[in-house]
Amino acid sequence: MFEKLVNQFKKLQETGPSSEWTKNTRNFLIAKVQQDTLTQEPSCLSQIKLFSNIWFKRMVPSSVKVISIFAIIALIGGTGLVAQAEYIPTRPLYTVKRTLEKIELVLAITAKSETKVHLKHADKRKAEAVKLAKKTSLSTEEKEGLINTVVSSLEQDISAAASSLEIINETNKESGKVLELAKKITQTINENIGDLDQVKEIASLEGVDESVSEVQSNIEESGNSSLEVLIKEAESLQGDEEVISTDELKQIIYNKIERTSGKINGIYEVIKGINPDEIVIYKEEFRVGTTDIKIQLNVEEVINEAVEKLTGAQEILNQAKLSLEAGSLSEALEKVKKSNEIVIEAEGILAQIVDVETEIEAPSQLINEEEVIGEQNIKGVIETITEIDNATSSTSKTTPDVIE
Amino acid sequence: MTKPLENDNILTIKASQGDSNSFGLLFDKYSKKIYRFIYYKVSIKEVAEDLTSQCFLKIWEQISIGTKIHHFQAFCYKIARNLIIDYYRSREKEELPLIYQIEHKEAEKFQFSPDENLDQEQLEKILLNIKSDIREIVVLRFIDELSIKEIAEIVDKSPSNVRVIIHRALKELNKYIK
Repeated sequence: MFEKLVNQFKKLQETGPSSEWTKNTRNFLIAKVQQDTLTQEPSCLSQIKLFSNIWFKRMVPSSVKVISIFAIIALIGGTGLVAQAEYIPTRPLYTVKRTLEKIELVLAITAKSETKVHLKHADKRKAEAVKLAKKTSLSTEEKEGLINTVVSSLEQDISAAASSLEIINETNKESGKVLELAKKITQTINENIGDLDQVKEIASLEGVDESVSEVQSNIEESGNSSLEVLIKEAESLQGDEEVISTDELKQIIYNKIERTSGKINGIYEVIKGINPDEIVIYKEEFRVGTTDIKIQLNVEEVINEAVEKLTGAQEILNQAKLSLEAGSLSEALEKVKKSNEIVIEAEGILAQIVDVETEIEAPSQLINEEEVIGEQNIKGVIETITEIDNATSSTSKTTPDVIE
Repeated sequence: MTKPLENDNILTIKASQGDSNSFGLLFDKYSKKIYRFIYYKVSIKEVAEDLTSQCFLKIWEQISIGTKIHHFQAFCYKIARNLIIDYYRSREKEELPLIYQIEHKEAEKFQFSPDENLDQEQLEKILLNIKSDIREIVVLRFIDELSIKEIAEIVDKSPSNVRVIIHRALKELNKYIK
């Protein structure tokens, strides 16, 4: 019901400043920019300076990096090669490895080469995650922490690659290069998602499961823009000189549908494991005098809400399958994205139950939600408690020893 | 001849090189959003306009000194948020204009049927009566249509936290439906 209200909020997109203010402020800002840059040298000289600055910054960005570069050059011999094999983030050689990678990134001159380097690094992080998952000599906490560190870096690299693609897409007139990169990003993401499933399976740790699943969702989301580029190309060329075949694209979207379906089923499993009668969660807690008052959350209502969302998400996912079968790839992708958004909302709703520790309290302290409507009930409670407080007086001060 | 829509990063670089039109384009793209975001926090048009101007001045300051801006949109919103915080610190408490204050007793009267078409004024009344931290997320999510990840970056919270706040917002909005 509130969804209709929420949709109406889009009308507020019309809210804006007055046109007079907009015009005056814009003119003022443009004048400010012109004034501040007035002392800049003529444009061609400033271009040369900027160009050389960019090159200088890329090669020698800071004194720290200068020292790092010299240190790396000194170490490069055998150490550099040995460092490449290191996969445990807490070890010194791993730091050398990452520093070498940063230098590689600095040396990537164009956005295209930068994208490729990011993807290469993402692949390395994935390989590290798999090795860490297989390593038996690590404690549970250590393994979780190390895998989480590595997959977070993977996510950052994929995200950076996707951002670079957007820049290239805007500026590059050679659509062939854009498509080639979009294909590389899409394939890398697909492979990484599959391999991260392997990491979860091998590690079999709850902490790893959660964080890796989140990274998988995030990199999948990052990959949507490159997938859209490829779909647009496939739909316009329709078989002629495609960078990536329609069948391959269909498979990728189908995999997305399956993963979303898996997520939905996973959440249903979590819901099945919840017994509302055994859970007591307080959505609000406050203290009045010396008494704690807690307002209970209606767990069944929360579950019903989540289930409603999941049902909606599944319906949209079914529609995505039909669109895919009909050959409408962009429509299918849109529906998968929409379904994912609803799944995320359902997760948010369930987070009230799943993420909160439960406890059982003495019934006299509990106030049911229905009983606390309006200020009068609270005022009545407060008045009573104040009377009790005044009666007992400040001389009977409780100390930690007494409570114990 | 119209130029194709340019990426924020490119416009920022051009602006730093002295291309004032590029900064003008950035202003055109984000001024309304930033104004709206500020307005639904401070509720006073003149203050919102003033803070929006300050926001873009600060953005220009950062561009001119060569600050690397990874996500321009998020950067704008963060600066706007900081300006709002400074604004409230210089005042002592948040004040809603009287026209938007709804007494707690009258909350029951201020309800709509699910299919009712609300006008801008009614929607603003609802919005301005939601708690400020929730309202912020509502503006970013349902009016500006940003993703959870983008919102999390702007408000400096985790995506899970943002999702929980959105859920709370939906619960709050439910009170206004008959």
